[in-house]
Amino acid sequence: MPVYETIYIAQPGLTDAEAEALGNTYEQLVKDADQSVMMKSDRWGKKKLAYAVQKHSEGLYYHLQYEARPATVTELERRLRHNEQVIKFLSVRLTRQAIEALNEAEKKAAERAAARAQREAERATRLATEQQAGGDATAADDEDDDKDADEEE
Amino acid sequence: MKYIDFKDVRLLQGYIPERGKILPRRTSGTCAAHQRQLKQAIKRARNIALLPFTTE
Repeated sequence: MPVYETIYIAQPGLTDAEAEALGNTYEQLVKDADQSVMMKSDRWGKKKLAYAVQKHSEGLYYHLQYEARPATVTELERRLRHNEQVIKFLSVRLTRQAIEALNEAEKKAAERAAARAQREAERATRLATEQQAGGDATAADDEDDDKDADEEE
Repeated sequence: MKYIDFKDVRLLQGYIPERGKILPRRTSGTCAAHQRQLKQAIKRARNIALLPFTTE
């Protein structure tokens, strides 16, 4: 079954509760649909718009990735269109290459974040022990040089 | 590279200087296939206000 990705933007003036509810509504809509599988659901929160849309300069971004029948997409768009709080939306059909590429990108980002977190933890413990030993700082800093094996971009 | 994600604003921004126009291949040096993907990605990003259509 085809995989789609939909992004929609809501007015920035919503309260947290409204914003939450809005996201859930559409998430639920896709989940409940016949033969559909929700793959990802993100909220990017308030972001600055590249140009004014209906007089707003910021918007609340929502992102969904799901597998569903075309009819579901149509219905989702129809509802988004009618909702006055939603100021823009865009649905895209993803090719297999696209899905793979996106998944890889996500994995890499997660790995990088994990590596960074680990390095910070090590640095923190190192600093703690230095303070106890009274400033024996010179030997410890060579550890960082080998870790960046996949930063080849 | 297999797929240029229209959500990847940082990547895309390198290909639209001042004015917001898409850079021609001869200037940016990208290959034909990637240029086509870039074009599509930029246009999509513009449609959801992640990139501008024009700037003055």
